Amino acid sequence: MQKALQKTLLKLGVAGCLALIVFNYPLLSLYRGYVGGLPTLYVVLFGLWLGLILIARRVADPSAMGSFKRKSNQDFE
Amino acid sequence: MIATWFVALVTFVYLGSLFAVARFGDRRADAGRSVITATVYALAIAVYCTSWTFYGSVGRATTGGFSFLTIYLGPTIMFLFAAVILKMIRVSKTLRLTSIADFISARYGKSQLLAGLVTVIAVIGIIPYIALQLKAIAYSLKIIFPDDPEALIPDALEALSFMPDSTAIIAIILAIFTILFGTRHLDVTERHEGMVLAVAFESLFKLVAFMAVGAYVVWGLNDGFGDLFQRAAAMPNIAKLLQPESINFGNWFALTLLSGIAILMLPRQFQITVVENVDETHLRRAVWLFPLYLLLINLFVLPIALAGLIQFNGGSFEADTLVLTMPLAEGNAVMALIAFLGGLSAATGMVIVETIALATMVSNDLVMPILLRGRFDVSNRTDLSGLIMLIRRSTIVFLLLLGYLYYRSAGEAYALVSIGLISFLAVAQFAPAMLGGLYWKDGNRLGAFAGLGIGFAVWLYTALLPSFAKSGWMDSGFIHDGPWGISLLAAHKLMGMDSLDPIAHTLFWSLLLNLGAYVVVSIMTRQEAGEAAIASQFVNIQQVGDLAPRIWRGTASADALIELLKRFLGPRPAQSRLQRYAKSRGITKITNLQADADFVLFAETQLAGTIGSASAHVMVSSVVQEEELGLDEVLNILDEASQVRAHSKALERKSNELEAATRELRQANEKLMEVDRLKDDFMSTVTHELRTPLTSIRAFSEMLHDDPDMSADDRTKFLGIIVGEAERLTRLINQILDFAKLESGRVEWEVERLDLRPLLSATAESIGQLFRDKGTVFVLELPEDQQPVWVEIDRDRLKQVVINLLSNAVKFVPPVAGLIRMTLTHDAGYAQVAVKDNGPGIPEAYQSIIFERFRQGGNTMTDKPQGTGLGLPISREIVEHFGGKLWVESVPQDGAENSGEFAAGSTFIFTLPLARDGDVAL
Repeated sequence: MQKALQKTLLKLGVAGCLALIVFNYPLLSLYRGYVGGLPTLYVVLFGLWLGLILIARRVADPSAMGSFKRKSNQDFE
Repeated sequence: MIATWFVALVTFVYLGSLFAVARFGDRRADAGRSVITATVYALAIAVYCTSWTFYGSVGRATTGGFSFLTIYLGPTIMFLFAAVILKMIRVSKTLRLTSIADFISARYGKSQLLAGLVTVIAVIGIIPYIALQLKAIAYSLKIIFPDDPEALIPDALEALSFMPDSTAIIAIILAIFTILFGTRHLDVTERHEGMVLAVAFESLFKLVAFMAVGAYVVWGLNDGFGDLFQRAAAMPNIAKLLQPESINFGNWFALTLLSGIAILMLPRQFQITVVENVDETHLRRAVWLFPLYLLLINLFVLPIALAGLIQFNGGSFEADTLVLTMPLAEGNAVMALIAFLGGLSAATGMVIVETIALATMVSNDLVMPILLRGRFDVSNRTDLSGLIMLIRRSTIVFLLLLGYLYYRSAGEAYALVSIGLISFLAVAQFAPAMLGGLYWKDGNRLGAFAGLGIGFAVWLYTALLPSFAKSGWMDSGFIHDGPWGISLLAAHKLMGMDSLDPIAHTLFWSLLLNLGAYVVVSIMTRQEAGEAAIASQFVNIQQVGDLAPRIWRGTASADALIELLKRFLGPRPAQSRLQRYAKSRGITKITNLQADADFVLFAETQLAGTIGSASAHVMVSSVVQEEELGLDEVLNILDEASQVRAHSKALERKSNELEAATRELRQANEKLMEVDRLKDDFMSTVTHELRTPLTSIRAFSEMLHDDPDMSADDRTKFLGIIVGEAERLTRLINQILDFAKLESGRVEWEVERLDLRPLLSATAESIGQLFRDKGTVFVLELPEDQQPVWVEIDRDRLKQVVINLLSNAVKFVPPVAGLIRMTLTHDAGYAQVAVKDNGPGIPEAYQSIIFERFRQGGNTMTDKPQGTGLGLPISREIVEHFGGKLWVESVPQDGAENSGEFAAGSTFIFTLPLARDGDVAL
């Protein structure tokens, strides 16, 4: 169990490092102009943010993915 | 539009519902059916979003575009590093830590001074933040008050007031709530489930309220996102806010970092995330649900800001209250009321949790130490639990009063408006000591002091004082020109660094110097023994958990500890906890508890939950005599595990050695058994040998006895035989005794200096009869130089050897033409004697065996033994005793050496060292 937890924490940490890169210069400076009437930056920022949240949910909280998913692997032990 | 009384009613109904929710939560908790689920926990963490978020984000967006998002991206990213949060939770639960001050002081040797410093920083940093919330409430009340339509325009605000002290009333209500639901238990580590549930409820409320306002602005006042953004794009001033070019990425990164740190270090966040955590699995939900909350509450910030900018294009307006003024301007009273309540919920949630967190710190780490050190009589046996509770409740009132007074005196000043990020900067100073303490064992107390001190000083100088100056409370010259005109010390551009905005500037310098001082001082100074132990527990919490080594030695009285617990926890709670503890250790009665290290630590941990770990340590130390543990000893205890490993390695080595020894022993045993078997063989041989002469003696004696008429000739002949056989018997027995003596080393040697020449001649002569009896030719060859050959030896023993070899040879030479030659030679240091015969020779296989005890050449089972089997071994023992060697060279079939006389035969050779001072020619 401890090992599974370490793996989960590691995956989250990797996602965190990715987020640090994605949400900073120079990547953010790329998103100029508009997409479908909305500012590209607005769409990209919230889109990446949502993507990150979904990843975190998938990695950390499988029990929130729906009742048909297994409920185990939930313990932080 | 909205009657004053109605606003008041709604406000009080809302606050009343908070009480109801909290009460419900506490009741459920008391009934053992906790309402704190993972979702409630994640929502409660959203106490992060205060009125500063609710109103302020829109304000920031109107001037800074996307930059407001950094305040929420930082926490989102930090929550992905859940390992850090999990570690904080585990450490705090294990050690019953209840605040950041407690956490830091516990890590660095339970220093009261350090706890005090952290508390002071937190109070100075956070009180203005609380004041800001009160101000937001007051401000929103002024705006929503509908009596004067002009009130919508901020300039007109000063003329009005809702109630003389409406904010004070709300502050009082909050104080009551906080006392009721925040100090239910004396033990701070007991969760405040009602309070947490109420805060989660507030979080949900403010989110719904803000999104309602956002949806109203986007779809009610405009035609959706597309329409709003299109209109914004058409206005150059606004459009540029929406492009990456408007972002200062240096500041962007700094603010992301700052808010990421703040989500861990803000006292209210620590309170909810760590102290109020019921179950660490809840973190799994919070990792994504809290960021989702942040995303949702920010979704409409930019649209509302754009709508405001477009609506008030060019005109003057208060950007910080757009959320409220937009619905009001459109005459939508319901929406305005929702916005007002949302802002109220954001402010009250923050005030409640922050006050509880600060009150814990102030009462445990400032008030208690002063009371305990001062006139407070420790030996007084009264129940102190009531007093402690009173202190904590008074602290709550005091803190709220302080916040209120600050708000009243600061008013509209810049100091209040900018306080959000300045507070973040203050608590960010805890990060090096706290995170360093979690991951770096060698970080020590002096390092923490140095880091916190210098970080706090930089913060005071570059953040707090400038905010005072901008409020007009002091001269502002030092901000840009430096004090006394020293420009390198200018508060907003230290060392001339002017490319960063003030927040990023303070963050850079304070954290750089803080971290630097912490690391450098930690490296340069020594850690105390006790500190090293706790540091190891912090850093290794995932592995050791509750099983941390009990590092304590001293003498204590269980009664004194029990008294202490009763005094501080109250008699009944203490009793029940002691009972539980005793049970867990398999002891039925509390009075039977032994005051061992485990119990002392239990007592200290229990006290820590009530009065903080630093004070708890002082109190426990006052009733026990702790022995100072040297660093080496502590390290020894800590290294117990590795010692055990080392021991097992040593054991392994020992067992290998044992195995080797066993192997040797087994070999020795086999040898012994072989020897034993040989002895048995010998016994049968000897018995046989002894029986032969005995039989003939007996037979001839009987004949003599039975026949008295025997002729005198026969009688004489028989008697001769009897005598001969008896002599043989005697010889045999003598040899056995002799050998036994040699074997056991009990022989007395009579060493003398001898010439070998006469000795050999005399010995050969003495057994001349033997040669003559068998008709054997004996030749003695001595060196031609006629020089004496000196050796140091026991004369009789040497004779024994020579006789043995000669008589052996006689035994084996053929009856006809038997030939024996004894040769003496000498060379470098050794004399050599060789006895050569022309007997049958000895097969190679037997050449070494014949020198072993009890062994003879040939088949002992079929052939009649020719000797005792002891002659050669005895001879070899003797020769070797004097430093020589005895061996045999044999030519069984062919090969004559010197002449044709010895076509076959054996040569027994022995050497002896020459006497050193002898005049022997070499």
